[in-house]
Amino acid sequence: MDDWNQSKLGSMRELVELRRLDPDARTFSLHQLWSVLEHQARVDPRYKVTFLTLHARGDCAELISRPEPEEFRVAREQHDGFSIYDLTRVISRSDIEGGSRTVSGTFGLYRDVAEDIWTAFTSEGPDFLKSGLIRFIESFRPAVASIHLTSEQLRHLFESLEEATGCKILVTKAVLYSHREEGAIDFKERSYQELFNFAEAEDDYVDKIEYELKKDGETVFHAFTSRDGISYYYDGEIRYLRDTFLPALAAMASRTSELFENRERDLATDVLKPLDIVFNRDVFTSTEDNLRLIRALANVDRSGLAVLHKNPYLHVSLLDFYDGATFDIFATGSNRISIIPGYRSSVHALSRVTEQIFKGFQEGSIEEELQPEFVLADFLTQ
Amino acid sequence: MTPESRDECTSRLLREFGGYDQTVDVVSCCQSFLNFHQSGYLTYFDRYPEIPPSGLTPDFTALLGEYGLVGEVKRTFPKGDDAFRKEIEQLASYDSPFSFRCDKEGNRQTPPTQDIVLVLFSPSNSLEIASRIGDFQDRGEATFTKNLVLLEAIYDTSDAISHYVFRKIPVGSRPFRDSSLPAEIRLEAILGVQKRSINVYPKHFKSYKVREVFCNDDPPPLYTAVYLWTKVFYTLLTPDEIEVWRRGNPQKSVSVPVVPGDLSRKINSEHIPGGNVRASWVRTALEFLEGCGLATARPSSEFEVQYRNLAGVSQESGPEEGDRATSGRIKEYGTILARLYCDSKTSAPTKPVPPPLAGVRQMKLTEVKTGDSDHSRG
Repeated sequence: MDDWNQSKLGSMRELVELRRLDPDARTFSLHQLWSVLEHQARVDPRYKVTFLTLHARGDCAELISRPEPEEFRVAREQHDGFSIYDLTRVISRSDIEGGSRTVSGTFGLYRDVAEDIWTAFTSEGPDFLKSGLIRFIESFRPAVASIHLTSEQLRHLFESLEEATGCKILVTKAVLYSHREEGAIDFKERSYQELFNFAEAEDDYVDKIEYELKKDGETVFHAFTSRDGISYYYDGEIRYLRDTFLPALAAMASRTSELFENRERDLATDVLKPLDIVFNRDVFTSTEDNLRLIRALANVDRSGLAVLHKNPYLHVSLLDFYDGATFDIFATGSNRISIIPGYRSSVHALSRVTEQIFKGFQEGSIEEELQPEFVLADFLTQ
Repeated sequence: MTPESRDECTSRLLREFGGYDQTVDVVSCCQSFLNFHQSGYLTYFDRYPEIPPSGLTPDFTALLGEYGLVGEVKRTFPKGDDAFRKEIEQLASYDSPFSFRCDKEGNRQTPPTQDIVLVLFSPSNSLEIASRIGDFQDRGEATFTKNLVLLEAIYDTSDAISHYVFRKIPVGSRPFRDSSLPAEIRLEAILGVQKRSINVYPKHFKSYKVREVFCNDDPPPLYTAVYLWTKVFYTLLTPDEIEVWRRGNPQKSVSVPVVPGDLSRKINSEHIPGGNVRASWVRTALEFLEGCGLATARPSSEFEVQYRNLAGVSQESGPEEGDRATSGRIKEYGTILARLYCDSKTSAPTKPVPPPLAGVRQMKLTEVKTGDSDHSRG
């Protein structure tokens, strides 16, 4: 690490505080780091932290310390259970005055207890978050994948939070989208159950939620979460994120990514490993429904779609140009979609495909499809 | 004769694509039904039969112990007597006893009882066709020593879940002679005596369709081209080429050399194990892609494919066509390739693909359209 990077890393406010508390220590533990976050949150009302929950197999901390795109420069400082990175991105573009600009800042990364889930965090401002950290993390796709939550999963997270804290949860602001129409719907000042009930009744999906925890009428915690695994701490007791919300989010994301792991077709055994998306009502009732699914899939960026059979049953083939993952997708029933991965598949690709179905068509639950054993009666009855 | 318009050309190609796909479905239905229903009694279902020494290629053969079925799927039958007679003669060519494939290794057996099953996927006139076939036999113009069993396949959309229905046509058909099978699973008992229908849903046949992709008929070039573009060409890229796409824009083309014979062998071993994708199918698909302006024929039977993600290719609205997503708003590969081909064949010639530079492979950073790249933001 050169002097330039050393000085930048040293300026991270959480590290400065840790070194102030223990000047002789060379490394710090994740527990110590959280104590500092908690302290900062208590003493500085302007202190904000963003958490990004990610999926990555293997050593993500090591992987992201070696970025290949020249626009990124990174230095890592390893600690006990987490790493701190100093990141600089030079954005070169003709519409920027002078042809380029530089974004820099620091962020941390730790591995969650939940398998293959990592959390990146930063207390830097929104420009570093969006143009620096998020773009940096995206440059490691498909090895590092965003997580995606359904409205139902978000509801379960809030139920867990409510149960664990004994607090009332008030949604101060939310953004919902319709599966069928363009445009967002703003939702303000209701209980979280009302929000999710409203979304379900209106056939919308929940995209973002800003919320408060209320105890004895007082706001004890103020935060934000989105369906793509971004959580903002705004105010109050940050321990609610540390102890309850983030671990529950990581566990949920891990369960989904576990379903997406190792789904590729095996050449030696020729075993297919399909996944089903199951809906709680009939969603294929007309040809227009098939078209809506096709349109949703056509919106998976960096993908190619072939429609083999559109009507009356649906069979499409999708290629993900990120990593060559291929899928055959069938509407196999009025409330069921079957996704059959080809010889290449990835958590990243399956996550993208299912999220696009959930947003552009309908949200459902993902299940492993068991290998069916049909008998004569299955073919004789309608 | 009026030259075919671009929209007519596109519609025709998509119709041919859809027709072949339906035949693949019907064969997959037969395979799934016989596999599930007759499991334990189905010795082997051959999806790509080639009967020695004649080299005849029916749509499938199924060996059920001592009983053999040779299957042919027909979507249309000609109206005229002479053309109709030729179709009957094709069926009659399967009439002599022959050996059936009995395992994956290619061993063969000759079952003592063999029948021919003709599956008519022609919902509006299968009864009329069956009746004419019966008349031909009654008049002695066509005689079969094997029984010619006539089935109709229809697509039932009345149910909540659409599915294929197979039933025996009451006129013109002979019985299945499958008495060597246990009584409860005999096709003649189910379809003939009990007059039951066999209902095959996507959940039954999808795994066969996904694994096999093709049937024994020559596919339309568009069908093979779509398969190659969405399932095969990506696997020919080097890790460096994939990495450049991952970091940049997959709408920048990569030059991929393809030899039809080599690629068909690769497909039959690595993509459709045990398949019978012919080199000629790959060649006609590559010639089709050449017509799309996406490939160039080189000496020594080699083609140079300009491979990229075509989802951003700008196209005007396509023709309205009943059974496929042909709306120009939906960027799907069947429509994209059909329109590229028809653009070049029915209007101004497509801009030729530039010759490659020295060396076999090169990354061509010729940007077509930066539609889905988000790497320029920041």
